[in-house]
Amino acid sequence: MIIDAVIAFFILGIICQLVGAKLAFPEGLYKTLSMFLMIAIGLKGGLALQEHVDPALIKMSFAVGAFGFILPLIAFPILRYFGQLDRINAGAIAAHYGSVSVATYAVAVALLEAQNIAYEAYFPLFVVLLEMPAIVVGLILAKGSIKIINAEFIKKELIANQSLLLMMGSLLIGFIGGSSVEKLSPFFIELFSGVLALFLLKMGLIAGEQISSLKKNSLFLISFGILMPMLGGLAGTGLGLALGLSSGGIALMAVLGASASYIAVPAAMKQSLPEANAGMSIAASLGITFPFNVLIGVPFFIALGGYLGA
Amino acid sequence: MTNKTFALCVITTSVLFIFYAMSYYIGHQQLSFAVVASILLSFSLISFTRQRAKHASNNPAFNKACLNAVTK
Repeated sequence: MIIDAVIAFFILGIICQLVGAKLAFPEGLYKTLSMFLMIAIGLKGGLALQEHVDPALIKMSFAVGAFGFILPLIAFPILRYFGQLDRINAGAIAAHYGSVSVATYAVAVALLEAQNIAYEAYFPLFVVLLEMPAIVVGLILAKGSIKIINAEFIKKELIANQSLLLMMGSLLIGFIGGSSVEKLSPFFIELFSGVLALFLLKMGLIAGEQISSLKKNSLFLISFGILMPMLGGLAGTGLGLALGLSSGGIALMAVLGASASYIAVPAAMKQSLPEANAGMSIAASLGITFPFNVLIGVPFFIALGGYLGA
Repeated sequence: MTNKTFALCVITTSVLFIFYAMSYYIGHQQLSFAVVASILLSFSLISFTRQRAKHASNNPAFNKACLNAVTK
């Protein structure tokens, strides 16, 4: 099988890190690239929504929101029973695995577009919807109480959440902007794959760093980091089928279920659960699950979506 | 490595093999699933066996039983 050029950059990043090549990215570029991807995904979704608004979207949004609540509930008992982790760390890691990774989604979109497979335009909305529920459930599981969800938490994590605001805002701009949005497409739409390749090169460097830092609980984290995307992906495939999505839509829903957050959730956990071991969550989500999804999971779920949606 | 971690490794390996079978069935054979499963199973077996051997050598009752068996 020929590897997609975008994914090849991810492998290049891992190799550079593992052989010790000093590939330094300018400070802040990683954040800029992730912001670019979020805006581009939102704009693309908004543009596509202009042409196709589905009234069934409200019902689907509730189902997707519920899916976000269920995923950490699958991860939590595995972490508690098999990993013998305390409530705090189990809750924090469960929140990471219930939420979604925008980069994994971007890779799936790039692969679908490369293979000319159509998918529902409103998927960026689902990405936004899946960001938050897992954080709420993870925190409740970690603290064993609902009291942690107070007004300050809602203000910080729901209203002022950077990735939520960027993606939702761009989706709305794309939707209401009309033909003026077309002016932005040379930058945000046509450069998407190139920027994604650069972003994945950086992600490869970070993933390589995380792989080499896996020490304590490593076999447990490796097993969990591989098992969880497969379970989440299967659950996502089931949801995609139940919602009657296209083959591309089923694949994207599976990818959303399989992915684990490493941008929005770590920031939220740092604020709300400072006692949790952030290194362990990042090592699992970024060092194990992200490479597994990009190299193996995403191509498989696209093929599975194609098979089931046909 | 605890027994529970080993159990999780075995479960993950089994699911990986199921995914490999599924990929074969849907006509998109992905050997990577089987490769990852084999590597994970090998590592977990090595780690588990080592742990057991280490535990046994630190167990006075086990050492005494071995000594008795040899001297008899």
